[in-house]
Amino acid sequence: MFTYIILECVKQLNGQRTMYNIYHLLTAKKSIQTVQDSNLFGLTRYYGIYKSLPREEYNQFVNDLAKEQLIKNDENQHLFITSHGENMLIELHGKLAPYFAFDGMRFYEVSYPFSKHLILFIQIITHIHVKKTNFIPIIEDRSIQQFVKKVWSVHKNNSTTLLTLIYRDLDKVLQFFPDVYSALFVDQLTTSKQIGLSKYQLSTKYNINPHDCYLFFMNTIHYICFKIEDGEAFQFLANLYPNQAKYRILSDSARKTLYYLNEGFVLEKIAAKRHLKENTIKDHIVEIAYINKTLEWKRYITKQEYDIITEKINTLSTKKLKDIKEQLPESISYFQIKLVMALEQNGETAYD
Amino acid sequence: MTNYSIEDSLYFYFGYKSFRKGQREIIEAVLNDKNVFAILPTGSGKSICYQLPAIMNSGMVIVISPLLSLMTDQVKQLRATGFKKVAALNSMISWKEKENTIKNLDSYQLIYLSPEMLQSERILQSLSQLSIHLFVIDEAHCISQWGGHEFRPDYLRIKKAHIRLNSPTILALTATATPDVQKDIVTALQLHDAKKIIYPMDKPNISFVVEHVEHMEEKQHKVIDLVQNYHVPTLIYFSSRDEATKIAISLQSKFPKRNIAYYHGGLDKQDRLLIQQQFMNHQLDVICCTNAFGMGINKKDIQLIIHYHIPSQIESFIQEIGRAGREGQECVSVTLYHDRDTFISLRLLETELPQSSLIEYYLKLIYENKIPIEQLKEDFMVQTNGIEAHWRFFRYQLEKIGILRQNLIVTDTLRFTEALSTIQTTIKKRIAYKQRKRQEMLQWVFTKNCRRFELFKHFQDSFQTPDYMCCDHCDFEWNKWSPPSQLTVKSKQNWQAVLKDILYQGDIEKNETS
Repeated sequence: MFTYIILECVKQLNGQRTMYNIYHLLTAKKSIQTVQDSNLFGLTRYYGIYKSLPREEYNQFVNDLAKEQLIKNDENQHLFITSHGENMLIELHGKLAPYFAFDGMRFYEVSYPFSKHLILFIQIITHIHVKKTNFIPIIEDRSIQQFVKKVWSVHKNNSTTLLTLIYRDLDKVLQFFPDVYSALFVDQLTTSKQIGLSKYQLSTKYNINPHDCYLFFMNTIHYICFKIEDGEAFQFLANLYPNQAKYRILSDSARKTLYYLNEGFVLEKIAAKRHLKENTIKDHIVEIAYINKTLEWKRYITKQEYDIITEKINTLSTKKLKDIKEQLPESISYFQIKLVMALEQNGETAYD
Repeated sequence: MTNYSIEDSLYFYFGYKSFRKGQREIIEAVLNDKNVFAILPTGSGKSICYQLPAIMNSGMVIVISPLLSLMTDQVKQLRATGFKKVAALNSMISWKEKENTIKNLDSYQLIYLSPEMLQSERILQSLSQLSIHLFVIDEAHCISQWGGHEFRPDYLRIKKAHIRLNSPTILALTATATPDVQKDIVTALQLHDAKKIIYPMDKPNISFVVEHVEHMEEKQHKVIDLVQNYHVPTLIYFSSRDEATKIAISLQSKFPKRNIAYYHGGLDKQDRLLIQQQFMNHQLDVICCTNAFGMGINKKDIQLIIHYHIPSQIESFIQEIGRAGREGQECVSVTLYHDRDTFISLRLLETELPQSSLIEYYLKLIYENKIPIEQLKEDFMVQTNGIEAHWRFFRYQLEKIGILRQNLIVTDTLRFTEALSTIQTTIKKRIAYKQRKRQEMLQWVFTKNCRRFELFKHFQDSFQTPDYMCCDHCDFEWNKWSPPSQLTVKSKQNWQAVLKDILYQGDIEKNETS
């Protein structure tokens, strides 16, 4: 599957971008340029589908494809597909297309937390079912743990019912895929009976390269995400779907602002350039803060200010801006408070 | 007041019916406000000595430990048993989590801190507001220059912090301490009047074997033989990641029915966690690993430890074999040795300290005022490929010669050449020391005497009578070792059956055939 994806990207880019643009596409780095590229070349469905891909492994893989003469590169790291590669692409397309569910641009942000919710929830529920309470959570991320805890506290009825619901959902999903995909998926689950297998173990067990082990799994996750958003009648899985507000897409106008910010323009310059009020740009920045953690927030707020505001937000029960503002030193603006609220809602703090 | 005895609490919280050697004595002493300096062998349940008092809520306990992953593991394990009033402060946790912990310090009963955290004025200030009952220094040998490669300059400042926190009762713990190291610990922490509880480090249930090989490939054959003949939970230690990976893969293809994995610092966090948990959960038979594996591993049934390469010093070796036979069952340590290993371990040893030329370069920048102190660490770390220990060493040297004083650089009291030669002499001394340690390890490999005696003679005068065979120079014979076979099972079911099984859908199906 990894071969297929790379060949397809190489074919579409046809030497107009370097091999690193494909890497940025798969890992969702360098956002604005990459987003535009993926639209331009019709590669949006690969956007951010493999965020954890290490650069060296990517290089290695591309070199291997070149060695097999499926692609060739020029001295500027631009890649081209060979006729041998074209044939391979057609062959792989025939095999994979029916099961191909990746829609990166749409799901790259929800798919990761969703897969972690699913894995952790299954670990917890199977342990509770057999009354084992001391186990080490396989997902260490606190925000994931809190989400799952909340879901559990809402559906506390009984583990037997929940297990049956999850079983039916997963069984239905997995029936759709070839057996190898489904077996790989099931082996990655951690329950009270088994600890999930690592990428390398799966790779040895099924004689599939480790990248494909990962991609098969994520492909299934994208499939479930699609079904959930499509209104498929799952019995339980939708409860593990991440809170949508956090993952909403940027408005067009905010996206433009983000573009200029990434280009290095300051707030005032952007307002002037776009003939908008500075406050509008500030609203965009807050909007960006809700979904994107990579901006340099230090420009708008110092660490001390950030600390004071978080402390107030945490101690006051109100979410009313005006009430919060009144409790803070005058030098702190509404914009800064909104910014902190956005960043804090993101779970992990972005400020450091 | 409850009338529960500490035995009741031990059983209630940890599931053990009785204490192991030394535990009760230590716990009773610290509960009676007596300072304690204890040497307990690896795997003897050191952590219970402070976890139990914390859980029994006899006052707040803080634990200084340099092992970040061990800290994280212990916090996780305690939380898993239901004790949630525990937290850790170290450089690995996120800024937000740290803030949260500091804000709520008084709601915890047990707080783990890395020694670096004790240097933070803010944290010291918050801690000093609390009434701390017990101040634990884990891995206390890190205080000593002679404590091997783990020496932590920050440990020397612990005493100051202890006084700042109104001098609570001290419990200093370590698994390995030669008499020299013991002296250093007592002096640094002023433990002259403390109760000393020193338990022998020798392990009566392990037998020692060393096999010299003529060709490197022979090592691999030996390992294959051992894995084939002995179906017991096995650890194989390597000095390189690549080698561990390579041998694990070749063993797995040789024995497709067994479950064999590798573990080293190069795996990502998720995979490391999975492998550890699988080993604990009896899903793996053999792990090929580097010394990154093992800290915080609480597996009781490891019976075979193979050293594919020798460690750099006896202390590490003792720690690594300490992971076998935690419940007193018969276990064997096999060390494979080839003459070329000497060179490998010499090279490794030199990489444990920063290069002299690097020190000279940065010292010059400092003297010429060309680098602000804030940037020094960052630049230096980049140059050493992110090896934190190298930076710690350099910073400590700067402090020792008086160039670095509370984050200020003072260069007018000492000339550049003197400063440089002082640090370079220290490096030379350290390397010479490490070479001596390595030499000790080699002497053990080549000894003609009883291996048990030779291994522990650095730490104690005598040793307990072995429970089983002693060593290859005394009475060890392979054909007399026949541990019962413990094999993990590989499931051959199709995914439908597995999914049904792991989600407990076995019986439901029958009830509702529609």
